[in-house]
Amino acid sequence: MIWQNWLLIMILLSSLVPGLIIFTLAESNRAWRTTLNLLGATMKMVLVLVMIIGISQGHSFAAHLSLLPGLELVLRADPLSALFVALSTLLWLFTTIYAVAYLEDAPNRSHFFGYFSICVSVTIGIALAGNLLTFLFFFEMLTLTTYPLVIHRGTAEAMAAGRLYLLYSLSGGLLLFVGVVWLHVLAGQIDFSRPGLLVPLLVQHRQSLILIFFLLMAGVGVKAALVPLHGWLPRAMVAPAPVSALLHAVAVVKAGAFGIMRIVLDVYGLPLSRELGLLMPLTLAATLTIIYGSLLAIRQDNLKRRLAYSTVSQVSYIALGISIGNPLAIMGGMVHLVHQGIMKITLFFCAGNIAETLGLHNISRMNGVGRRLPLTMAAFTLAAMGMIGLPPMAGFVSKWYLGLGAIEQPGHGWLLVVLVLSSLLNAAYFLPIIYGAWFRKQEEAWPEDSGRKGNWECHWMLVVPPLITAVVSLLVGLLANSNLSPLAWVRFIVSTRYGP
Amino acid sequence: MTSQLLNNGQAGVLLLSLVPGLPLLVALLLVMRSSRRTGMRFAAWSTLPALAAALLLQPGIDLEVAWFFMGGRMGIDEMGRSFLLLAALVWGAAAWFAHGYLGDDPQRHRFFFFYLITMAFNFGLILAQDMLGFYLFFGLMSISAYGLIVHRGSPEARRAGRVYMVLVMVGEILLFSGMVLMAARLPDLELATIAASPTGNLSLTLLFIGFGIKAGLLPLHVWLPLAHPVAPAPASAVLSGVMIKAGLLGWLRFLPMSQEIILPGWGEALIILGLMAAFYGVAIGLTQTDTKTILAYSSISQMGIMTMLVGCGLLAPNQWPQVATAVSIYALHHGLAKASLFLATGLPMAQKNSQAAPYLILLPALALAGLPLTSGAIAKFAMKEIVHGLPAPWLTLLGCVLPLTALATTLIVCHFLKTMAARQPQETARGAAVMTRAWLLLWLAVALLPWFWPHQQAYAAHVTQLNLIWQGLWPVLAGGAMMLAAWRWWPSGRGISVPAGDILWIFWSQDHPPTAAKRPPQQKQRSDKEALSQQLQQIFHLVARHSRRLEKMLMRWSLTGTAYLLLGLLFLVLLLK
Repeated sequence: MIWQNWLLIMILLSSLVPGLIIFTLAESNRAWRTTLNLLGATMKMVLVLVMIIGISQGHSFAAHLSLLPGLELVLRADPLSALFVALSTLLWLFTTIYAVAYLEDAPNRSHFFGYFSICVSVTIGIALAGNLLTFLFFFEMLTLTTYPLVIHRGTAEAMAAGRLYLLYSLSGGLLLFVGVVWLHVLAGQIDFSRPGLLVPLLVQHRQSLILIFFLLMAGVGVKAALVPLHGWLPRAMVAPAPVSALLHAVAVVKAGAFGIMRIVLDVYGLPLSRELGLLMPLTLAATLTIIYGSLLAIRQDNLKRRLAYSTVSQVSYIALGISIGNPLAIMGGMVHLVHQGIMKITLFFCAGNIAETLGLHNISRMNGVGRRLPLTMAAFTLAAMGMIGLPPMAGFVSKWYLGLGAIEQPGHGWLLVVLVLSSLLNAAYFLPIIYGAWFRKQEEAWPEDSGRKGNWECHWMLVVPPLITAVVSLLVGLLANSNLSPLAWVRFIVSTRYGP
Repeated sequence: MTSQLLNNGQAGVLLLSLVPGLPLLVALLLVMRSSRRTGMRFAAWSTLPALAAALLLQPGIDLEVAWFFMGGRMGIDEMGRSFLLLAALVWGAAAWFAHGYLGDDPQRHRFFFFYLITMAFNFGLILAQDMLGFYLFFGLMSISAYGLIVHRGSPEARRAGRVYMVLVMVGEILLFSGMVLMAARLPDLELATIAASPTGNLSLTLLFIGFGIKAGLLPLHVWLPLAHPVAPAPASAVLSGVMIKAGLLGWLRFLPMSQEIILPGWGEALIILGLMAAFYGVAIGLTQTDTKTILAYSSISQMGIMTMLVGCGLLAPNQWPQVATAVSIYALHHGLAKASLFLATGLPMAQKNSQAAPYLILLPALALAGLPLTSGAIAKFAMKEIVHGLPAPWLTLLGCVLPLTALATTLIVCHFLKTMAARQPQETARGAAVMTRAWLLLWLAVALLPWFWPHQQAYAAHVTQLNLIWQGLWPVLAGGAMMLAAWRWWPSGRGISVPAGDILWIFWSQDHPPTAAKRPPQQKQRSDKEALSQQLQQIFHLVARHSRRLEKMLMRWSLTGTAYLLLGLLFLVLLLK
């Protein structure tokens, strides 16, 4: 049927077109801009829903564009892409609502929202990429579209952070490019739907395959902020809060983690990766990142910087799950793609509220903030509890499956200690914030207070998105066993594609 | 009639879900300013579903909720019923008491919010019939109880809260690892499966310590004597009366309770650990000067006895059913008696309508010591029955030691009573009438329940025999006599004083001086301790500085360098091929 081929294109265009139109709008044309944004987000939501229902009923969606013989751009929706697309779409909607209120009266809003929409389209492109070349194309595009968002404020600090971000991302992109080209030379077009493609090369090109793997991992590892490639992430937090939220929860960091999944699961495939001994190095890198990120997070006093290091640590749960490589662990890692996104976006929304409403950036000055911003801090508390991995929050579900996977995989039992240590460290850097906000008294006047807005503690569009995402992060844990939870979808992915 | 209606079909399931559901709903009412008054009115009543469930539902009812969390099952079993009754009575009476106790404390809504959610989670963990449900409610209860401990907001309360929270987090990760290890080898996660399956020593150890933190196991008991004196009296009552029993219930739920599974060494270890706690708690408790701290140490001692009972079950697995009953009876007895003593510390004794209280308090106090014809005597009798079934060396040993534990308990109870009597009469509080009524309710439960609750009734018939009365009486008399002698001849004020939290002070440096107790002058040791803590701090700073430098280096070492390095490497490889 025709509509099946057009659906994916439509999903891409539903945010791209509004983005392009917004560029042409005048700065003062707030009503049109917001309408376009919300229209695009809602439309995308409906289309994605159609796609997910289609996939669960066994339909397949694909679109091709041939560049050269043997080189084509392919969009294909498999259950794994649906997971990432759904996450991006949902969180994009909330972030747009948040950003509209957050950037009220700020300069260059057309510019901002234009890039914002395009950035989401590109992320969707990464999710839907059906072969390695398409993936590479969108992956490089992501760097270029997020750069303007990182430097949006235009301060010296923002420009420096932007330069660093470009430097890291472009170098990573270069490595990825070399890896992809090399792989193309050896094996031809790499389609994600045929994971056994590289197996015949095993005998002749063993060394090359190993080397290519490391090139590809270094490429996507920059975006996934694997230590020691994480340097740009904490600096990039100078961007406005909605950008940080999107960067950390959906677009950049997640694109990296998603890339790791694709390369291990769909390019190399688990049996080949294990045969080549590639999984253990990845496990070690993930472990190092988890612990190192948390250790550094404890030392930060700037809230957004602490959250950034927390992302470094948490995103590697995904890589860890994939690298353990049995169905339970893969489920844990994959579901964390969604869980971490929902929780982390909540935390960044809250950090944005605190900074925007009260002018507070440092944790040491946040005592008693729970009385002034009770709803914001309630959302923060829920999400932080989830990050620690306390039941019944989303984070616990991921941790539980990662733990079970680690135990079932011979020789990986020690990872349980890593998980537990990471939980403790998370508690060590989140609980003091919660404690200070709720149980300590305000010591000094807030640097600025933009005042209550009607019945709300600040603009309602700043409060509602984190509240919703916080409740969602509770519900996806509390209802993990229901048929509509991310866990159920991940179970479906693993049982259809990566099962035993 | 009602009971029949409840036990067939929907009504029972509805009641079961109301047990944790209603308190949570009322807690939600307390969050919003507009509905606070309504919430406060219903706070104490929201224990009624739990009470009704404990009294009316027959064991065996359960409710499977597949969509909930990771697939859950709630239900009532023999053991759960007994624990639920205890929880319902103590939480209910203490909530009522708290209305009077808090008076018009501006933070009372916050207190009741934490009180109600902690209570709901406590009920939930008793009803949970699967591993993750139990773990979920246990964790939630532990965390919400933090709000009860730090309610007063004083520096002592915060310090106690910090110690408590650290131990909760440690417990949480121990339980998580233990449960992951256990779950990896089980076909399903229902408690019935767990009880019948053998478990590895590692996961058993993790779970044992994880639950042990809550149960006040030595040496993880340190949070108890810190948290109890600083929490408001009704909070201490539920902490000591019910919540520490959750750790005990955890052991009973997760240690293998099957007659086929024998774990060498475990039974012996638990018995010895329990006995050590029983005497250690009393020894430290006798040096305390605060009534609630004394009671906290007494709880440590009593939990030691219950630990010993669980050890007996592991030593002789063929006795598990009896052990489970005996532990339930003991927990019920100790929970009610201890909660009523904790509430008594908050009673304004000089008040007109509580004039009888100084005499009434003797009953729960002496019941703890096992005075004949009290709930304590029944519990001790049930315990002796278990000991009679033990293999040879333990039979004799415990036969000798058990009366001594009763004697020790008598000592600490007398010490408590004397400290209570010596207190300054408190100001007249406005809520005195409410408090007295709530306290009398709990007192009646201590006095009457043993003769009516089916479990205890079976043993109650025995405790009226004359020789058994004498067996229960002599340790109490001897203890009382020893205490009288000590008061007569031991000059007061010359005792040894140990700061509350005992061994914890070894780890604390000088900037946290104990405020509650006088510190003995130990100059030399103090300087040693200071040096140690300074060294530790230096090491920490060193690590911190280096990690900062490493991070800076990584930041500066931009990726272009790496990329070209890797590219060069690559071409080298290609050339060499």
